[in-house]
Amino acid sequence: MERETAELASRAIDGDRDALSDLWRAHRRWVAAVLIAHGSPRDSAALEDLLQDIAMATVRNISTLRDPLRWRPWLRSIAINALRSSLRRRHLPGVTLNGSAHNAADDCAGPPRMGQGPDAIDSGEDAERALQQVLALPLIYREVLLLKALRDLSTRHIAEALDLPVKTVETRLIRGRRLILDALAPTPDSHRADFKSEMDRTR
Amino acid sequence: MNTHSFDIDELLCRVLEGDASADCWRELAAHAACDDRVWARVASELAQSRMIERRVHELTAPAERIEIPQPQAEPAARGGLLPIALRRRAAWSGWAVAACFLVAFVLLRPGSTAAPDRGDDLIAGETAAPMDPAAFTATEALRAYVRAGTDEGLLVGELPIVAVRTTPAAQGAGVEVVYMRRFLERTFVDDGDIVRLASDEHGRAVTLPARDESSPRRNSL
Repeated sequence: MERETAELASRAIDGDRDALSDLWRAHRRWVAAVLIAHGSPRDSAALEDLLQDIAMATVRNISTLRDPLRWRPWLRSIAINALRSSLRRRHLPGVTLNGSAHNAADDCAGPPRMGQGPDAIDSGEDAERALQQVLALPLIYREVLLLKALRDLSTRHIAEALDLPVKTVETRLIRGRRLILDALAPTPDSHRADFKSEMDRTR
Repeated sequence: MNTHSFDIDELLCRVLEGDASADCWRELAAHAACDDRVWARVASELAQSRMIERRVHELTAPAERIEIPQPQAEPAARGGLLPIALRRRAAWSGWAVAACFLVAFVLLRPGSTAAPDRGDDLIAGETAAPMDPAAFTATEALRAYVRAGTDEGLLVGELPIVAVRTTPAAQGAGVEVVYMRRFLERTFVDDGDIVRLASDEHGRAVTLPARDESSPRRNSL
């Protein structure tokens, strides 16, 4: 898969539009996940507009990609820059690398509800609430968790896209899940850090 | 005494990702033997994880409808095949130049035959050999515009770049610079196509042929 991606990227850089299309189709979904993690509006129309902008930017700039192996981080940068431009145009608060996803997502379904207690999941809490728990995390955790939830990318590919060591991504996955668990079922005797103080510390 | 070689969180992470080996499962069972809440946690986290996956798949579904624009689907510049980004840039620069020179009294009449090879608002370089937009990046297209415009004598030059704004770059290193590029173009207008602004009896602005005047106005600096 990796070799195929690099080959497609190489051909795309050389101007092969079909290769670029194939490459885009294989990666567009996680680009959408990155956008959501970074605070993109979540309604499908806004997301489609944004992805269209990113597709255009990809076509325009693909020849500036020097190393085909860097396709994923390159595409992620294009996506984040497009999101920032879009948010500026909409006069929404911008997002920072460690900011909350919710400051820009004006059409999200309300603020996340933390600390629901252990019954929240056991009683069949809906998927939206589960997602809200992820979106309430600091960016460094929510991005890897959303990318992982998509199951399109391996941990190694997520690390590559984020320009991080694999171990760091693994650590963020573990800590992110732990933070969610702590938020859902805080236990006084837990050795884990309090969710709120962890949030404050990592922001 | 703790004899576990894996942290419980790490084990759960592997289980959730489907990467748990037989050793991991054995280790998990050992944890569960010490703490009966472990299996409940596994169940909770699996349920949570699946719900998140389902929701993320729903939310990212619109991405499946977005395709890379194909060359024939890209809007070509009117009267030419320059990429739209270049056209916007060139069109803007044309207006900037027009503003600089304040050619207020000389207007091209709509549908006039002025500069018949180019049309009223075509930009320098558009009459160059047809170009495939798919083959150009913005930088390459701009370069092609400058080359073609210079060859045709329609592009006089470029004014100094003006920095508009600098902000810290998205990735935290370096700065993003927004700047203005200004191109100086020229066009040729037949005497018969030069008009002047005047007012009718109701005070409304009208254009009149400049050549009707005893001394026709010329656009000049």
